[in-house]
Amino acid sequence: MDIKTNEIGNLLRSQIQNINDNVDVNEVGEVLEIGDGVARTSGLGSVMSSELVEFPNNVFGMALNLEEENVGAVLFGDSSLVKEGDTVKRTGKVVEVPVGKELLGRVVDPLGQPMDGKGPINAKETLPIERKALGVMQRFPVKEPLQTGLKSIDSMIPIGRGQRELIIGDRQTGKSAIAIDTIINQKSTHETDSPVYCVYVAVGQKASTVAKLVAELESNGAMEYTTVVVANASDPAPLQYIAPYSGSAMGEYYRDNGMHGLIVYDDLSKQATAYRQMSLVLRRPPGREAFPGDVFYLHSRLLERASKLSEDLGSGSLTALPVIETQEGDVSAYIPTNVISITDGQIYLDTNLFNGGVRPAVDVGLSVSRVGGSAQIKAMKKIAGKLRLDLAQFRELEAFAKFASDLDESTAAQITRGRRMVEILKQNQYVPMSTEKQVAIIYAASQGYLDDVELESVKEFEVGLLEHFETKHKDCLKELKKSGDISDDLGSKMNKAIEEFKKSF
Amino acid sequence: MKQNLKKINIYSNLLNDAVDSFEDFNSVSNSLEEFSSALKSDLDVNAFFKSKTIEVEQKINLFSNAVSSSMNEILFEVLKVVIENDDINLISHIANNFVLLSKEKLNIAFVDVTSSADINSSHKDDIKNSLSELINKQIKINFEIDSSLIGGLKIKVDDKLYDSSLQTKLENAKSKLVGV
Repeated sequence: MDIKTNEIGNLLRSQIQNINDNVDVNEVGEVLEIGDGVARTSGLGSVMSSELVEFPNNVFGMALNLEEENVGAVLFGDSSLVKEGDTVKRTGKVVEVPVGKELLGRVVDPLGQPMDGKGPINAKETLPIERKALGVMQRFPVKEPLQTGLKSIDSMIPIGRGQRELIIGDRQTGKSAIAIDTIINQKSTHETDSPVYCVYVAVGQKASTVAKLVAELESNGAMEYTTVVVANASDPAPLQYIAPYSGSAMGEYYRDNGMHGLIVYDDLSKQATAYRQMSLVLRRPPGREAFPGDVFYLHSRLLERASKLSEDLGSGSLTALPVIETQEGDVSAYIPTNVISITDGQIYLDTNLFNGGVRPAVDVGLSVSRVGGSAQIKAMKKIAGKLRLDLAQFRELEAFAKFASDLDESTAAQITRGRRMVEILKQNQYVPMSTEKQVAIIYAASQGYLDDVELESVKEFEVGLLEHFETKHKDCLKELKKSGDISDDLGSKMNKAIEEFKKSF
Repeated sequence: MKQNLKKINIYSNLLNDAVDSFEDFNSVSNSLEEFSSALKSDLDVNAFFKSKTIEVEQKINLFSNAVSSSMNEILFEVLKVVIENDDINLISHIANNFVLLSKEKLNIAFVDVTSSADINSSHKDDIKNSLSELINKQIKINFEIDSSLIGGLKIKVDDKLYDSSLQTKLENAKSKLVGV
């Protein structure tokens, strides 16, 4: 701050004069019991549910259990700083977080406090973390695509803006990688008139993993339009519990102001575990897998907040990509089944595929997008149908092919096509691909241009072909991008270009 | 648990019905508090009243000899029944419930006044009278000294805390200036 010496005195005087020296009036209670991040307090007769309460030593908490004689509050800070008999004050506010574009590029905790050492966040607005999801009349069906930049997802499991698509799989199957690639791919939307702002909520992850992720987003230029909300594994369970709601409030700001938001909850299984711990300590009765009875509502009320708004409300959207970790591929466990039933589809990642080198390890058979189809561009829709069919037939025949040594011609052809399709769907991390390029390569494969290319050379072919389009047939890509469809004319132009490249390959 | 709640309600309701002046309330609640804290602090007394081997008559005799002269008559009779029924472990709950019920019935407020230094008795009376007038209730007041307040007073009326202490004012000023 640039202040002249003679101004300092005046500035200080005016600031001191502004300090309100009236009597502080607060409604207070007394801590009866403290432990495991939960305080039971007496008094606080008119406290609201989810109200922020203040303990000594700048420790804050949230009133959750409003019982006849006492109030159970969860602590967001170090519970060793609070002791029995301490005074607890009402703040009169439900838990709120700062929202707005000031948060872009920042790493914050679930209360919206900066964690990146880049100074205070001067957000003009705040929103309560718990907000009611929108009603039916305020919504609009999903219609615009949200490109992940991943061929296998954008073609077969398309995601629309305002959709909730679950990313589910065992540990180490690349769940977070898909979410991060999607965030990185939104960079291209910032050159258009409908940019997508991202919020990444890291729940219960190692601090080192989050640091690595932030560095990766920064190096890819994605932090400029992203906010990272962090509740590390070492943070108290209540912070891990509220982190997704805080992130959601930040994402809703974009939605409600006619913009587009994307929020990644990584991951909700850890949030459910934190909620289970909190509930058990609050002495709420345990149910299946010791989760409390309202664990379904925990996730449904969160995910319902992702939506596409009607034109009257500005046509904004908030797309949610929740992540769930399964144990040994068990999708029928309590939390996975709950979240599967809430979301508009799931991307299922398979360990065997991942270990077999198919990355992203998307199991196309188990993955589905229930509403994204209507948001897909025409060109992609045309080729995706064929792709899906080819892959389904391939999977069926592949099992047979393992036992039979000599196959008839058509079966062999289908297997050949399938293997090449699988090969072109493979993609490295942090290299999302534009939609027109995705269409170009999948079109080439589905038209059979890759059938006589050696399996080992498919990747090389893909790179070469895309370069060929980029240098010699840019008009094709431009037209694809502009029209979003493959007309007969464009189709023949593309065929010509591919044939031309094949001759030189 | 449910049965205990019922018993607590019966004992405290009876006490509440019997108490109809602020003075009575004061003597009953003070005696109850004293008895409850004696049970908590003296393990021998506690063990004696909770013992299953000692005869009830013996317990009542000892209790009568110890407190009969100083205790409110109604409370004395109620506590005898409590001892007879072996409900001595409910005493603190009965005390709390009784206070809640009578506070409402007799329009009483509990006030804690904390100051940085000792206040003389005429000032104490002034504070008591003006507070009683201000909140229009009979008050049960308790004075405490906490030198960390530096100056000013902290007055807690039931659940409301009126804080005019210098300590809080300085903290508020600090947070406003530093922006913490």
